[in-house]
Amino acid sequence: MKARETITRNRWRYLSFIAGFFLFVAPFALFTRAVYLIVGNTAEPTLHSVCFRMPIDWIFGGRFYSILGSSWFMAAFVFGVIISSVFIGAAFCGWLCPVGAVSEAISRAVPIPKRFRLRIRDTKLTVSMRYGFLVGFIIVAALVGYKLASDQLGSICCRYCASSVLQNFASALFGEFSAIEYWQSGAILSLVFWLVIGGVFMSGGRGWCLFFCPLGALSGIAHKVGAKLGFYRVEYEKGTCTGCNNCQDLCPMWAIKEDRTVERTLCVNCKECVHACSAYKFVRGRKVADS
Amino acid sequence: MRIAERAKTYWAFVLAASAIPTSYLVAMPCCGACAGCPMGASCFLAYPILVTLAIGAKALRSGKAFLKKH
Repeated sequence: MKARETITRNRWRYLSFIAGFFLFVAPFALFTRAVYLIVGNTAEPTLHSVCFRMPIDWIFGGRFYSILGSSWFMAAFVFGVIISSVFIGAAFCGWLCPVGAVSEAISRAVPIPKRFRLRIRDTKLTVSMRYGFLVGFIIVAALVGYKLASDQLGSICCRYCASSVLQNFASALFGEFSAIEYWQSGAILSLVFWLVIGGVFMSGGRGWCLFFCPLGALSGIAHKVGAKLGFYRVEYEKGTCTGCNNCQDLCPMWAIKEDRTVERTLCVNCKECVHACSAYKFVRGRKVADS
Repeated sequence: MRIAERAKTYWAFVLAASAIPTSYLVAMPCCGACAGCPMGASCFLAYPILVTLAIGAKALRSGKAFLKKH
């Protein structure tokens, strides 16, 4: 009954996740395929074609030629997601991203008691960790990009990438069995953190998104800026709150603070809190006091 | 209390920020020979994951009790 309620409540988001899989993951990659068709690119589109990490790596490593060159589409996609987050929040993460969708789905599907799932209730601590990892990522990008350290990082980046793991899973599932050759302990460790530790054993199933996704972290910053400017966001109104804490339990991104206001840098506009409680609603404009 | 809370978040930030560069330093001498290594770059990911779990566990009441015990 509870599963049915969850599916009914989130039906549009789950349908959107399925659409996201078909839009970005090979052998379908319909969005990328359409863009490639329009611009006359003959490359085979995969989830790698819209890599969430490389353009950010290039920017902070000073490798601007990579953005302006043949990988312009990858860069345009990443910056499109970040810029759209200013206006509509991190909606890509909450509604389309196939990587977050799979781990969240597994978290919902595996019935584990709540006490076995990790959830950090202190949003400041979660934010500190999220942006700490982002800073670490930027430091390494700069070290490699500006030749301050060995430039071999590029060759191992895909071995700790959940998107890569998903793409290889999907390729193998749809007949390209050579993708199985990719499996080595780095990929297995990514898989374990993404789906088992971050998926099953972290409340909400978005451990990877919370801590290791640089695109998610930058989208969170963009959403915070957008909310300050008065763009689309979830707002909390104390008046109708009954203090049931359902909002905190349901939020997959651990974005509800102790005082039940929303931490913008974590929020992905998934609407879980809006469905759970009438104290939350989407607003626009700068008139309402920012939570 | 407030200072302690702030110190906790700063500490988490610093620890997380140093995790990826540290694991990069660990992996660097191999010069990207991950494909030929049985570890296969898991050394690169293991430390950030441990940091995440350690900070996460410390934030939990049960985790705190476990860490106090051991």
